[in-house]
Amino acid sequence: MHTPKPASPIRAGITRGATQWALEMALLAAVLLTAVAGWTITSLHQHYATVIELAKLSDLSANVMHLDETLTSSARIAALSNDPEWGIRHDAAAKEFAPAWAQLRDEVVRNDLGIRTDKADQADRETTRMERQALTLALDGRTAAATALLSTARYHEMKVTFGDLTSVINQVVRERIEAGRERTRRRNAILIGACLLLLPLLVISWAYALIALHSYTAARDRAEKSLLESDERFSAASRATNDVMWDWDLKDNTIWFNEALQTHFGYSSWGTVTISRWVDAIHPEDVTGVLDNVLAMFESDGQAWSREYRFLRGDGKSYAHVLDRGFLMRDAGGKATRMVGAMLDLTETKRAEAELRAMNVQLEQLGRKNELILNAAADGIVGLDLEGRASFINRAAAEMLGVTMDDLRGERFHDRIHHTRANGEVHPFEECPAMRALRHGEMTRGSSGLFWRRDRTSFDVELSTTPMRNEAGELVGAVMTFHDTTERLEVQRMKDEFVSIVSHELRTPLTSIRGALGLLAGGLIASSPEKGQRMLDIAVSNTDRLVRLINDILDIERIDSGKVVLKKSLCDAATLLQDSIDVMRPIADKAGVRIELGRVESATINADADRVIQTLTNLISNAVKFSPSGSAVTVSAIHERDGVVFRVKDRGRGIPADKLETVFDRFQQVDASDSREKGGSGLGLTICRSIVREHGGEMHVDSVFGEGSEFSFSIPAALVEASARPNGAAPRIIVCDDDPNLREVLETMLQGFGYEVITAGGGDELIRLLQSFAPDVILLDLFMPAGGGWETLSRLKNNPETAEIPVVILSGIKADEMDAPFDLAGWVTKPLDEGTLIATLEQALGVAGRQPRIMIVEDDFDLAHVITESFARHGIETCHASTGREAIALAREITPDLLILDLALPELDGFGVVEWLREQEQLCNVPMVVYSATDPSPSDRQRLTLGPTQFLTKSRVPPHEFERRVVDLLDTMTRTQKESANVA
Amino acid sequence: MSPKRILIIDDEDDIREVAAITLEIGGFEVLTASTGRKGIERAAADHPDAILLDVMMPELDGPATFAMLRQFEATRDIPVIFLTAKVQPADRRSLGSLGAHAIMAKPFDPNSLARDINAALGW
Repeated sequence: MHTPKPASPIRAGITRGATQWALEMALLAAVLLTAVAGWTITSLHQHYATVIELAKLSDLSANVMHLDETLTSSARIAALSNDPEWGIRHDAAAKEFAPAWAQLRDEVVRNDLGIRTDKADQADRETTRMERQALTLALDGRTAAATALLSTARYHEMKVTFGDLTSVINQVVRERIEAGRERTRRRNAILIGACLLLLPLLVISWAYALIALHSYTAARDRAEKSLLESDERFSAASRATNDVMWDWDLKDNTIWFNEALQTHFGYSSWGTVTISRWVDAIHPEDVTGVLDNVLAMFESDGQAWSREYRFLRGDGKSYAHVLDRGFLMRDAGGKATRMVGAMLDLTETKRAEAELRAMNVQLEQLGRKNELILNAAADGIVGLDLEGRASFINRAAAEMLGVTMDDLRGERFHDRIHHTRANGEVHPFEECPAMRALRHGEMTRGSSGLFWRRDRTSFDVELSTTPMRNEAGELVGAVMTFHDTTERLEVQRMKDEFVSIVSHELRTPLTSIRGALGLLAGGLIASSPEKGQRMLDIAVSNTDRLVRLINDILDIERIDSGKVVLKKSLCDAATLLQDSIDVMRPIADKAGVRIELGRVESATINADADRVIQTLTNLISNAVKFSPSGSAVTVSAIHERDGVVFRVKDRGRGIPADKLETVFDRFQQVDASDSREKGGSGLGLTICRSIVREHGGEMHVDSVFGEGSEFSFSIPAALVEASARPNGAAPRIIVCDDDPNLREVLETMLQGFGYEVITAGGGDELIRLLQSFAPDVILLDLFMPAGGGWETLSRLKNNPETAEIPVVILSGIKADEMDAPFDLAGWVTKPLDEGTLIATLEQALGVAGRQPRIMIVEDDFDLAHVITESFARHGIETCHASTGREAIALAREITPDLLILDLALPELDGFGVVEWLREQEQLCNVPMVVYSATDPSPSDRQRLTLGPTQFLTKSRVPPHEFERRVVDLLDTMTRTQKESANVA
Repeated sequence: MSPKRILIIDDEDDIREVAAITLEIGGFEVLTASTGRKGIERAAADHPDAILLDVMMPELDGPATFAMLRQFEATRDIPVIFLTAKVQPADRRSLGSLGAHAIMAKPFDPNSLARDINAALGW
């Protein structure tokens, strides 16, 4: 573990401080001592200089005295001898004497000896004059006079005076020198003592000063070196790293960047810049956040700052993703003064991270996709390890086997699921295809087997196993796929049985025909015309039977596969029942069976009248056939909750309980021989049930064996009430037809449906009527003698005032045979079908901009009520179906503008409703809002999409929000509709 | 030699009639029955030389009738020919396993039915 050393700059600071103090003290001592020594030496020097000066004065005085004696003697000799030579000598001496004397005199004054020289000066001048006189006398030969002159007392006195002066000088100088010597001796003693004392100190202090200086220098060098090194390290580090280091001076708001700004981020220079350069380089989207963050830290007491943001590169275009970290320094008052930090370029890291993330997401997606694929598979898929234990099972497998992955852990899949054969024998693992895959790497396809569920029930499977190998080709396990063949086998069995039955049923009449005709053709019965005739009768009746059978078989197939389009119209249940009775009455009469009417209620159903009559006659016919002569068959039609229920009750021998289940199945007569006698194909009830189911109803049978049977079936009510226009104004229609009978029929019919009807006998009358009556729709006969339909239509459409009125054409020919030049709202073919006409008119009125109509499919009556109420407030018309079947029946009646669909519905769920709607040309593009309790999965959403479809979850979208969304959707819809209408 | 007597058991009236005429013309004496039960009774009572037995019949079908015929002493040895509309291989196999003398298909050719029966029974 690394322990940090004490911070070296602190120690360096201490060392440097001590050294400096010692150095300063030492230098001070040395300088003081040096000054004292210097002063001492200077004063000595001064003293000696004085002494020398005095000595010079003494010498000068001696010289002057000597020169004075020379003058005296030379003057005497010259005076005595009269020799001119001496006169010259005297003059020379006099010349020398004058400056010497002047110098001495000046020196005396200068040295301030306190001696007056004026007397001596006067004496000198007098003697000099006397000598000059003596010499002149001598030169004139007057020696005696000259000598006498020089022998005078005055001269003498003067000479003594002068001589005295020099003696005084000498004496004073001597005294002075003596005094100086004495002083010097004393001072020398002091000085020598002082020097003896000071010198060691001086030496010591200098030595210490030198040492201190040296150590100071060394410390400074070290510091400098360390600074240099640290600087070098910093510089090297800052060069070696890609980090941009920075130093933000908050006082003058400048920021220094290191070289990395240039080398790494591609800036043209580095160094100190204003802080705005940094701010400008922050990505516009990040800058506010970064600055707020920094400033917030300045305000708080934080110190360490870090932030990720995008920093502009030197190219001025691209941004680097950086992690910037700074350390804030504050002054004593806590005010931020400086921040130093480093900016780390994370771009690569981020990119790598993003790539990794993307890859992970991809992998995850792939994994999920694989799982989804595996789970979406209808086949069971089981991954097996080398031991044969399940390592994975998909959803289908889990559902089929009724197990979870956890249930299967630890045990061999075979021992758990595939252990016993259908005959109860143990199925050894050695014979399992999985074993062959795992041990020998063999692939098996489509072998059949028996799998056991958790609840100990079993089912037939077809299974395939594929060995799995790793990249090295070693076996690592196997994948077993399987599917439940129970149903398929059952279907196969039923198919076989059906083919067998059909084969038999077809061959039976054929056998008679073939036999009869064969006998005739072979001429074997030529001799017997009666027999021949009999054979022909057999052939004919069996041919009829065959044709009936084939028709019935085809009928069932077409109805069941939805290929039969029911020609539905609004019809009255009671009328249909009466029509059926009318058809059957002759047969019943023949059989001696009465047909009695039970309760019969009038109710409108939307049904294919022919098919309903076919069903009713079939049931009545059966009832009559099995009724003993003299008994009665009772029929009724009662309006019940779901619609109209028709009942046909006989007092025949009834159906044994065990046959009740299968009585509607194909060729499942209770007693075949009976039915043959009665001439049925064995398919009648099957066809009846198919017809009823196709109408959205159900068929039932109740029977007590020996007492009679009651067949009943329901046809959903048409819900005409729901489709009627609820709010106020009846739609106004003009019926234009030249046939007065038809006009009358139409008028009555349309009034019955709540229309306000006006009729016109021709085009001219129609145009005239339009001036006073504004219809919502016009029903126009195309072929009229006067002012034919086309002409009238063209007049209507070319007049802007009437061009917008929707026109429905009434014609004897089909729309697709005509090439309509005008925009028509509908086309109804004669002979008229009430249901089609009303539906077409309704649709035409819809195009004309009626209020949108919403169909609510919701089994929760309370919720449906709430929704209905909320849309009523918007003036939106709604109709309601509470089951899937009702929804289909209702959608057949009216084409809703919008469908609100719940998914969990009785009878037929939302998926079934959508499936049906998708197949309807008029309904497959209806906008829809799926308002369900649970969130549908994406695949469910795909299955549920009709027109523009929205998915709202009840728990997440409360009713008021739901209302708003739906109204918005309707608004958008009607807007688009209007726009597209305008474009058109 | 008296003509051979054949019992036709079939629930279809027309087929019975056509077959009867065919076989009479072919030189057989023909007995008929419209159900399996009646057929067994007739066979026990009249001892036909052979039985032409339909397969698909209500209540007692062909195989059940055959099994009963084989049970009774009186009818055990009467050769039985199935005359059936079930002509699929699986049906033929299951019928064949029952031990009848022959299986003949519907529709039959009246001009060769008698000949085929003779051939099948070695007459």
